[in-house]
Amino acid sequence: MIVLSNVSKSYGERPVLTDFSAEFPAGVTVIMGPSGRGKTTLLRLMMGLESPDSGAISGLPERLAAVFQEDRLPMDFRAAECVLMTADRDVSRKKAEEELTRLGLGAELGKPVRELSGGQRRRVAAVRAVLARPDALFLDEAFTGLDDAIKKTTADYILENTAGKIVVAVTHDADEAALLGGKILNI
Amino acid sequence: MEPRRKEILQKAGAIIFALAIWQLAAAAVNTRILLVGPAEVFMRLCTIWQVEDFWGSIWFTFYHIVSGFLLGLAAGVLLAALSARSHLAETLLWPFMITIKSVPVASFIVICLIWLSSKNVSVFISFLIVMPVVYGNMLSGIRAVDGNLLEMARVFRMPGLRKLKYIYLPELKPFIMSACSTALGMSWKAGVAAEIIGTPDGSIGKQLYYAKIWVDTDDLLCWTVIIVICSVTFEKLFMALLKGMYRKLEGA
Repeated sequence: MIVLSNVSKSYGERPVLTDFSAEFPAGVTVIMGPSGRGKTTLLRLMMGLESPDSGAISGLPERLAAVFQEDRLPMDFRAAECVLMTADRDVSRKKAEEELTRLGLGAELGKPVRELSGGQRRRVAAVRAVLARPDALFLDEAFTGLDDAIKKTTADYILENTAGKIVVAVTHDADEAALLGGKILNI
Repeated sequence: MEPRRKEILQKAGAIIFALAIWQLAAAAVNTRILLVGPAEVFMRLCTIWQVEDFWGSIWFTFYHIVSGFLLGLAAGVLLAALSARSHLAETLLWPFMITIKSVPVASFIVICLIWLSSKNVSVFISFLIVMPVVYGNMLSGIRAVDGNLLEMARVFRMPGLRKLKYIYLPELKPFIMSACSTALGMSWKAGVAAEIIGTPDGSIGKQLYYAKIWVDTDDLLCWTVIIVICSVTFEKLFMALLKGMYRKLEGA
Protein backbone atom coordinates (compact mmCIF):
# COMPACT_ATOMS: atom_id res chain seq x y z
CA MET A 1 0.00 0.00 0.00
CA ILE A 2 1.28 3.46 -0.93
CA VAL A 3 0.78 5.95 1.88
CA LEU A 4 1.02 9.73 1.51
CA SER A 5 1.28 11.56 4.84
CA ASN A 6 0.82 15.33 5.03
CA VAL A 7 2.37 15.88 1.61
CA SER A 8 2.72 19.45 0.38
CA LYS A 9 4.02 20.54 -3.00
CA SER A 10 4.32 23.99 -4.56
CA TYR A 11 5.62 25.20 -7.90
CA GLY A 12 7.22 28.51 -7.10
CA GLU A 13 4.71 30.54 -5.10
CA ARG A 14 1.76 28.40 -6.21
CA PRO A 15 0.78 25.63 -3.78
CA VAL A 16 -0.58 22.57 -5.61
CA LEU A 17 -1.00 20.15 -2.71
CA THR A 18 -1.23 21.17 0.93
CA ASP A 19 -1.00 18.68 3.80
CA PHE A 20 -2.44 15.95 1.61
CA SER A 21 -2.81 12.47 3.07
CA ALA A 22 -4.18 9.36 1.39
CA GLU A 23 -3.70 5.61 1.15
CA PHE A 24 -3.56 3.64 -2.07
CA PRO A 25 -4.08 -0.06 -1.36
CA ALA A 26 -3.98 -2.91 -3.89
CA GLY A 27 -6.77 -2.53 -6.44
CA VAL A 28 -7.91 0.45 -8.46
CA THR A 29 -8.07 3.99 -7.08
CA VAL A 30 -9.30 6.70 -9.43
CA ILE A 31 -8.29 10.26 -8.59
CA MET A 32 -10.81 12.78 -9.89
CA GLY A 33 -11.13 16.50 -9.64
CA PRO A 34 -11.13 19.67 -11.71
CA SER A 35 -8.07 20.86 -13.60
CA GLY A 36 -5.31 22.46 -11.54
CA ARG A 37 -6.09 20.56 -8.34
CA GLY A 38 -2.84 18.59 -8.45
CA LYS A 39 -4.00 15.22 -9.81
CA THR A 40 -1.02 14.81 -12.13
CA THR A 41 1.33 16.23 -9.48
CA LEU A 42 0.08 13.55 -7.10
CA LEU A 43 0.91 10.83 -9.64
CA ARG A 44 4.33 12.38 -10.33
CA LEU A 45 5.10 12.36 -6.62
CA MET A 46 4.17 8.68 -6.37
CA MET A 47 6.17 7.83 -9.49
CA GLY A 48 9.22 9.48 -7.95
CA LEU A 49 9.39 12.20 -10.61
CA GLU A 50 8.90 14.97 -8.06
CA SER A 51 9.88 15.31 -4.41
CA PRO A 52 7.40 16.64 -1.87
CA ASP A 53 8.28 19.96 -0.18
CA SER A 54 7.16 18.37 3.08
CA GLY A 55 5.47 15.20 4.27
CA ALA A 56 6.32 11.61 3.38
CA ILE A 57 5.48 8.97 0.80
CA SER A 58 5.95 5.38 1.92
CA GLY A 59 5.19 1.88 0.69
CA LEU A 60 6.25 2.49 -2.90
CA PRO A 61 6.92 -0.86 -4.55
CA GLU A 62 10.09 -1.53 -6.54
CA ARG A 63 8.47 -2.18 -9.91
CA LEU A 64 6.47 0.72 -11.31
CA ALA A 65 4.88 1.36 -14.69
CA ALA A 66 2.79 4.12 -16.19
CA VAL A 67 0.65 5.15 -19.12
CA PHE A 68 1.21 8.86 -19.50
CA GLN A 69 -0.94 11.62 -20.99
CA GLU A 70 1.58 11.73 -23.83
CA ASP A 71 2.58 8.38 -25.33
CA ARG A 72 6.31 8.67 -24.54
CA LEU A 73 7.28 6.05 -27.11
CA PRO A 74 10.47 6.03 -29.22
CA MET A 75 8.93 6.88 -32.59
CA ASP A 76 11.40 5.06 -34.87
CA PHE A 77 10.79 1.65 -33.31
CA ARG A 78 8.04 -0.84 -34.04
CA ALA A 79 5.33 -1.48 -31.45
CA ALA A 80 6.86 -4.76 -30.21
CA GLU A 81 10.22 -3.06 -29.61
CA CYS A 82 8.44 -0.31 -27.66
CA VAL A 83 6.95 -2.98 -25.44
CA LEU A 84 10.21 -4.88 -25.02
CA MET A 85 12.11 -1.73 -24.01
CA THR A 86 10.61 -1.84 -20.53
CA ALA A 87 9.29 -5.40 -20.42
CA ASP A 88 10.19 -7.94 -17.82
CA ARG A 89 13.17 -10.04 -18.99
CA ASP A 90 11.10 -13.18 -19.56
CA VAL A 91 8.78 -11.43 -22.03
CA SER A 92 9.57 -12.62 -25.56
CA ARG A 93 8.95 -10.72 -28.80
CA LYS A 94 6.28 -13.30 -29.64
CA LYS A 95 4.48 -12.57 -26.36
CA ALA A 96 4.69 -8.81 -26.99
CA GLU A 97 3.24 -9.24 -30.48
CA GLU A 98 0.45 -11.50 -29.18
CA GLU A 99 -0.57 -8.92 -26.60
CA LEU A 100 -0.49 -6.10 -29.15
CA THR A 101 -2.64 -8.23 -31.47
CA ARG A 102 -5.12 -8.75 -28.62
CA LEU A 103 -5.59 -5.00 -28.52
CA GLY A 104 -6.24 -4.84 -32.26
CA LEU A 105 -2.75 -3.89 -33.41
CA GLY A 106 -1.95 -7.09 -35.33
CA ALA A 107 -1.94 -5.33 -38.69
CA GLU A 108 0.38 -2.59 -37.44
CA LEU A 109 3.23 -4.73 -36.12
CA GLY A 110 5.50 -3.99 -39.07
CA LYS A 111 5.19 -0.21 -38.86
CA PRO A 112 7.28 2.20 -36.81
CA VAL A 113 5.27 3.85 -34.06
CA ARG A 114 5.40 7.25 -35.80
CA GLU A 115 3.08 5.82 -38.47
CA LEU A 116 0.42 4.73 -35.94
CA SER A 117 -2.59 6.85 -34.97
CA GLY A 118 -2.84 8.47 -31.53
CA GLY A 119 -5.26 5.77 -30.34
CA GLN A 120 -2.99 2.98 -31.57
CA ARG A 121 0.01 4.51 -29.82
CA ARG A 122 -1.96 4.73 -26.60
CA ARG A 123 -2.68 0.99 -26.82
CA VAL A 124 1.02 0.28 -27.40
CA ALA A 125 1.74 2.29 -24.23
CA ALA A 126 -0.88 0.23 -22.35
CA VAL A 127 0.69 -3.10 -23.42
CA ARG A 128 4.12 -1.73 -22.52
CA ALA A 129 2.92 -0.87 -19.01
CA VAL A 130 1.27 -4.25 -18.48
CA LEU A 131 4.23 -6.32 -19.72
CA ALA A 132 6.59 -4.44 -17.43
CA ARG A 133 4.74 -6.57 -14.80
CA PRO A 134 4.56 -3.72 -12.29
CA ASP A 135 3.53 -3.89 -8.66
CA ALA A 136 2.07 -0.41 -9.05
CA LEU A 137 0.63 1.02 -12.26
CA PHE A 138 -0.14 4.70 -12.79
CA LEU A 139 -2.60 5.83 -15.46
CA ASP A 140 -2.57 9.53 -16.26
CA GLU A 141 -5.58 10.26 -18.51
CA ALA A 142 -4.64 6.96 -20.16
CA PHE A 143 -7.74 6.58 -22.32
CA THR A 144 -7.79 10.01 -23.94
CA GLY A 145 -8.07 9.70 -27.71
CA LEU A 146 -9.60 6.22 -27.73
CA ASP A 147 -13.11 5.56 -29.00
CA ASP A 148 -15.57 3.98 -26.58
CA ALA A 149 -15.19 0.37 -27.78
CA ILE A 150 -11.37 0.46 -27.72
CA LYS A 151 -11.44 2.35 -24.41
CA LYS A 152 -13.36 -0.56 -22.87
CA THR A 153 -11.11 -3.23 -24.44
CA THR A 154 -7.99 -1.40 -23.23
CA ALA A 155 -9.38 -0.85 -19.72
CA ASP A 156 -10.42 -4.51 -19.46
CA TYR A 157 -6.99 -5.59 -20.68
CA ILE A 158 -5.24 -3.46 -18.05
CA LEU A 159 -7.53 -4.55 -15.22
CA GLU A 160 -7.30 -8.22 -16.14
CA ASN A 161 -3.50 -8.12 -16.11
CA THR A 162 -3.03 -6.07 -12.96
CA ALA A 163 -5.34 -7.91 -10.59
CA GLY A 164 -4.03 -7.69 -7.03
CA LYS A 165 -1.66 -4.82 -7.88
CA ILE A 166 -1.88 -1.15 -6.99
CA VAL A 167 -3.48 0.79 -9.85
CA VAL A 168 -3.80 4.55 -9.50
CA ALA A 169 -5.61 6.38 -12.30
CA VAL A 170 -6.14 10.07 -12.88
CA THR A 171 -9.06 11.22 -14.99
CA HIS A 172 -11.54 14.07 -15.24
CA ASP A 173 -14.02 11.85 -17.12
CA ALA A 174 -16.68 10.12 -14.98
CA ASP A 175 -17.29 7.49 -17.69
CA GLU A 176 -13.63 6.50 -17.65
CA ALA A 177 -13.72 6.30 -13.87
CA ALA A 178 -16.75 4.00 -14.09
CA LEU A 179 -14.95 1.86 -16.68
CA LEU A 180 -12.07 1.29 -14.28
CA GLY A 181 -14.31 0.76 -11.22
CA GLY A 182 -12.56 0.79 -7.87
CA LYS A 183 -12.36 3.51 -5.27
CA ILE A 184 -12.87 7.17 -6.27
CA LEU A 185 -10.74 9.83 -4.59
CA ASN A 186 -11.93 13.37 -5.21
CA ILE A 187 -9.37 16.09 -4.67
CA MET B 1 11.06 12.88 -66.60
CA GLU B 2 11.06 11.72 -62.97
CA PRO B 3 12.66 14.28 -60.57
CA ARG B 4 15.46 11.95 -59.36
CA ARG B 5 16.58 11.16 -62.92
CA LYS B 6 16.38 14.84 -63.83
CA GLU B 7 18.55 15.77 -60.84
CA ILE B 8 21.19 13.14 -61.75
CA LEU B 9 21.30 14.41 -65.35
CA GLN B 10 21.62 18.01 -64.15
CA LYS B 11 24.52 17.09 -61.86
CA ALA B 12 26.25 15.11 -64.61
CA GLY B 13 25.85 18.15 -66.86
CA ALA B 14 27.40 20.40 -64.19
CA ILE B 15 30.41 18.04 -63.85
CA ILE B 16 30.94 17.98 -67.63
CA PHE B 17 30.70 21.78 -67.69
CA ALA B 18 33.31 22.10 -64.88
CA LEU B 19 35.67 19.65 -66.66
CA ALA B 20 35.25 21.60 -69.90
CA ILE B 21 36.14 24.87 -68.14
CA TRP B 22 39.20 23.15 -66.61
CA GLN B 23 40.28 21.79 -70.03
CA LEU B 24 39.78 25.19 -71.66
CA ALA B 25 41.78 26.91 -68.90
CA ALA B 26 44.62 24.38 -69.34
CA ALA B 27 44.57 24.96 -73.10
CA ALA B 28 44.59 28.74 -72.59
CA VAL B 29 47.51 28.61 -70.13
CA ASN B 30 49.26 26.07 -72.36
CA THR B 31 52.03 25.43 -69.81
CA ARG B 32 52.02 21.98 -68.22
CA ILE B 33 53.97 23.22 -65.21
CA LEU B 34 51.18 25.64 -64.29
CA LEU B 35 48.07 23.64 -65.19
CA VAL B 36 47.32 20.34 -66.86
CA GLY B 37 43.87 19.47 -68.14
CA PRO B 38 41.55 16.73 -66.89
CA ALA B 39 42.43 14.49 -69.85
CA GLU B 40 46.14 14.46 -68.87
CA VAL B 41 45.24 13.83 -65.23
CA PHE B 42 43.03 10.94 -66.26
CA MET B 43 45.83 9.49 -68.40
CA ARG B 44 48.23 9.77 -65.46
CA LEU B 45 45.66 8.09 -63.19
CA CYS B 46 45.74 5.08 -65.52
CA THR B 47 49.50 4.65 -65.01
CA ILE B 48 50.26 6.05 -61.55
CA TRP B 49 49.50 2.73 -59.83
CA GLN B 50 52.79 1.49 -61.33
CA VAL B 51 54.70 4.01 -59.18
CA GLU B 52 56.79 2.29 -56.52
CA ASP B 53 54.85 1.85 -53.27
CA PHE B 54 51.62 3.27 -54.74
CA TRP B 55 49.29 1.01 -52.74
CA GLY B 56 51.56 1.29 -49.70
CA SER B 57 51.21 5.09 -49.75
CA ILE B 58 47.44 4.89 -50.00
CA TRP B 59 47.28 2.35 -47.15
CA PHE B 60 49.64 4.39 -44.95
CA THR B 61 47.59 7.58 -45.33
CA PHE B 62 44.26 5.77 -45.07
CA TYR B 63 45.31 3.85 -41.96
CA HIS B 64 46.63 6.91 -40.12
CA ILE B 65 43.81 9.30 -40.99
CA VAL B 66 41.07 6.76 -40.30
CA SER B 67 42.72 5.84 -36.98
CA GLY B 68 42.75 9.52 -36.01
CA PHE B 69 39.12 9.87 -37.08
CA LEU B 70 37.98 6.85 -35.05
CA LEU B 71 39.94 7.95 -31.98
CA GLY B 72 38.49 11.47 -32.30
CA LEU B 73 34.99 10.04 -32.67
CA ALA B 74 35.36 7.86 -29.57
CA ALA B 75 36.93 10.64 -27.49
CA GLY B 76 34.33 13.20 -28.64
CA VAL B 77 31.45 10.90 -27.69
CA LEU B 78 32.92 9.97 -24.29
CA LEU B 79 33.85 13.55 -23.36
CA ALA B 80 30.39 14.82 -24.45
CA ALA B 81 28.76 12.17 -22.24
CA LEU B 82 31.00 13.26 -19.37
CA SER B 83 30.24 16.96 -19.91
CA ALA B 84 26.51 16.27 -20.12
CA ARG B 85 26.68 14.64 -16.68
CA SER B 86 29.03 17.09 -15.02
CA HIS B 87 29.06 20.85 -15.41
CA LEU B 88 32.54 20.87 -13.84
CA ALA B 89 33.85 18.56 -16.58
CA GLU B 90 32.30 20.77 -19.26
CA THR B 91 33.88 23.87 -17.72
CA LEU B 92 37.28 22.20 -17.43
CA LEU B 93 37.14 20.99 -21.04
CA TRP B 94 35.97 24.35 -22.40
CA PRO B 95 39.43 26.02 -22.76
CA PHE B 96 40.83 22.92 -24.49
CA MET B 97 37.96 22.79 -26.98
CA ILE B 98 38.17 26.53 -27.70
CA THR B 99 41.95 26.28 -28.19
CA ILE B 100 41.72 23.27 -30.49
CA LYS B 101 39.02 24.95 -32.57
CA SER B 102 40.71 28.33 -32.89
CA VAL B 103 44.44 27.50 -33.28
CA PRO B 104 45.36 27.10 -36.99
CA VAL B 105 45.90 23.50 -38.06
CA ALA B 106 49.36 24.36 -39.45
CA SER B 107 50.50 25.52 -35.98
CA PHE B 108 49.35 22.24 -34.46
CA ILE B 109 51.15 20.29 -37.17
CA VAL B 110 54.44 22.09 -36.50
CA ILE B 111 54.06 21.68 -32.71
CA CYS B 112 53.22 17.99 -33.15
CA LEU B 113 56.29 17.47 -35.31
CA ILE B 114 58.36 18.56 -32.30
CA TRP B 115 56.53 16.15 -29.98
CA LEU B 116 55.86 13.15 -32.20
CA SER B 117 57.53 11.28 -35.03
CA SER B 118 56.35 12.52 -38.43
CA LYS B 119 54.81 9.08 -38.98
CA ASN B 120 52.14 9.68 -36.34
CA VAL B 121 51.39 13.35 -36.92
CA SER B 122 48.49 12.70 -39.30
CA VAL B 123 46.83 10.45 -36.66
CA PHE B 124 47.07 13.17 -34.04
CA ILE B 125 45.97 16.00 -36.35
CA SER B 126 43.04 14.02 -37.66
CA PHE B 127 42.08 13.25 -34.03
CA LEU B 128 42.35 16.94 -33.07
CA ILE B 129 40.14 18.05 -35.94
CA VAL B 130 37.46 15.41 -35.40
CA MET B 131 37.20 15.40 -31.61
CA PRO B 132 35.77 18.93 -31.01
CA VAL B 133 33.30 18.61 -33.88
CA VAL B 134 31.97 15.33 -32.47
CA TYR B 135 32.09 16.67 -28.91
CA GLY B 136 30.04 19.79 -29.76
CA ASN B 137 27.44 17.90 -31.77
CA MET B 138 27.05 15.10 -29.26
CA LEU B 139 26.78 17.47 -26.30
CA SER B 140 23.99 19.39 -28.07
CA GLY B 141 22.39 16.04 -28.92
CA ILE B 142 22.48 14.69 -25.38
CA ARG B 143 20.97 17.96 -24.11
CA ALA B 144 18.19 17.70 -26.69
CA VAL B 145 17.14 14.17 -25.69
CA ASP B 146 13.38 14.10 -25.04
CA GLY B 147 12.86 14.70 -21.31
CA ASN B 148 9.53 12.85 -21.41
CA LEU B 149 11.27 9.66 -22.54
CA LEU B 150 13.89 10.03 -19.80
CA GLU B 151 11.13 10.44 -17.20
CA MET B 152 9.41 7.34 -18.56
CA ALA B 153 12.72 5.45 -18.24
CA ARG B 154 13.01 6.59 -14.60
CA VAL B 155 9.51 5.38 -13.75
CA PHE B 156 10.06 1.98 -15.39
CA ARG B 157 13.58 1.76 -13.88
CA MET B 158 15.04 1.02 -17.31
CA PRO B 159 18.58 -0.38 -17.16
CA GLY B 160 21.38 1.71 -18.70
CA LEU B 161 21.86 -0.45 -21.80
CA ARG B 162 18.17 -0.35 -22.69
CA LYS B 163 18.17 3.44 -22.21
CA LEU B 164 21.13 3.63 -24.58
CA LYS B 165 19.44 1.44 -27.19
CA TYR B 166 15.91 2.82 -27.08
CA ILE B 167 16.39 6.46 -26.04
CA TYR B 168 19.90 7.87 -26.44
CA LEU B 169 21.05 6.25 -29.70
CA PRO B 170 17.81 7.01 -31.62
CA GLU B 171 17.60 10.56 -30.25
CA LEU B 172 21.27 11.20 -31.07
CA LYS B 173 20.99 9.87 -34.63
CA PRO B 174 20.81 13.26 -36.47
CA PHE B 175 23.63 14.64 -34.32
CA ILE B 176 25.92 11.62 -34.91
CA MET B 177 25.19 11.67 -38.65
CA SER B 178 25.87 15.37 -38.95
CA ALA B 179 29.07 15.21 -36.83
CA CYS B 180 30.49 12.26 -38.79
CA SER B 181 29.61 13.73 -42.17
CA THR B 182 31.37 17.01 -41.31
CA ALA B 183 34.33 15.47 -39.49
CA LEU B 184 35.12 12.83 -42.14
CA GLY B 185 35.97 15.36 -44.85
CA MET B 186 37.85 17.60 -42.41
CA SER B 187 39.97 14.70 -41.10
CA TRP B 188 41.23 13.90 -44.61
CA LYS B 189 42.02 17.53 -45.43
CA ALA B 190 43.89 18.12 -42.17
CA GLY B 191 45.55 14.68 -42.15
CA VAL B 192 47.00 15.10 -45.65
CA ALA B 193 48.14 18.65 -44.78
CA ALA B 194 50.00 17.16 -41.80
CA GLU B 195 51.66 14.60 -44.08
CA ILE B 196 52.74 17.27 -46.57
CA ILE B 197 54.43 19.25 -43.79
CA GLY B 198 55.79 16.22 -41.92
CA THR B 199 56.56 14.19 -45.09
CA PRO B 200 56.52 10.76 -43.38
CA ASP B 201 58.00 8.00 -45.54
CA GLY B 202 55.53 6.04 -47.62
CA SER B 203 52.63 8.50 -47.36
CA ILE B 204 50.49 10.26 -49.97
CA GLY B 205 51.63 13.53 -48.37
CA LYS B 206 55.22 12.73 -49.27
CA GLN B 207 54.19 11.88 -52.85
CA LEU B 208 52.45 15.27 -53.06
CA TYR B 209 55.50 16.97 -51.59
CA TYR B 210 57.77 15.35 -54.22
CA ALA B 211 55.36 16.35 -56.97
CA LYS B 212 55.64 19.94 -55.77
CA ILE B 213 59.49 19.77 -55.55
CA TRP B 214 59.73 18.40 -59.11
CA VAL B 215 56.99 20.77 -60.30
CA ASP B 216 55.18 17.70 -61.59
CA THR B 217 51.68 19.12 -61.96
CA ASP B 218 50.32 15.89 -63.50
CA ASP B 219 51.29 13.91 -60.41
CA LEU B 220 50.20 16.69 -58.05
CA LEU B 221 46.67 16.76 -59.46
CA CYS B 222 46.60 12.99 -59.87
CA TRP B 223 47.43 12.38 -56.19
CA THR B 224 44.87 15.04 -55.26
CA VAL B 225 42.22 13.13 -57.19
CA ILE B 226 43.29 9.92 -55.39
CA ILE B 227 42.93 11.66 -52.01
CA VAL B 228 39.44 12.84 -52.97
CA ILE B 229 38.50 9.31 -54.11
CA CYS B 230 39.80 7.80 -50.82
CA SER B 231 38.06 10.46 -48.71
CA VAL B 232 34.70 10.24 -50.50
CA THR B 233 34.80 6.41 -50.59
CA PHE B 234 35.52 6.17 -46.87
CA GLU B 235 32.85 8.77 -46.09
CA LYS B 236 30.23 6.88 -48.13
CA LEU B 237 31.22 3.53 -46.58
CA PHE B 238 31.26 4.86 -43.03
CA MET B 239 27.93 6.67 -43.39
CA ALA B 240 26.38 3.54 -44.98
CA LEU B 241 27.70 1.49 -42.05
CA LEU B 242 26.22 3.98 -39.57
CA LYS B 243 22.84 3.97 -41.36
CA GLY B 244 22.93 0.16 -41.47
CA MET B 245 23.62 0.05 -37.75
CA TYR B 246 20.62 2.30 -37.12
CA ARG B 247 18.38 0.21 -39.39
CA LYS B 248 19.39 -2.87 -37.38
CA LEU B 249 18.81 -1.02 -34.11
CA GLU B 250 15.33 0.06 -35.18
CA GLY B 251 14.58 -3.48 -36.34
CA ALA B 252 13.80 -2.44 -39.93
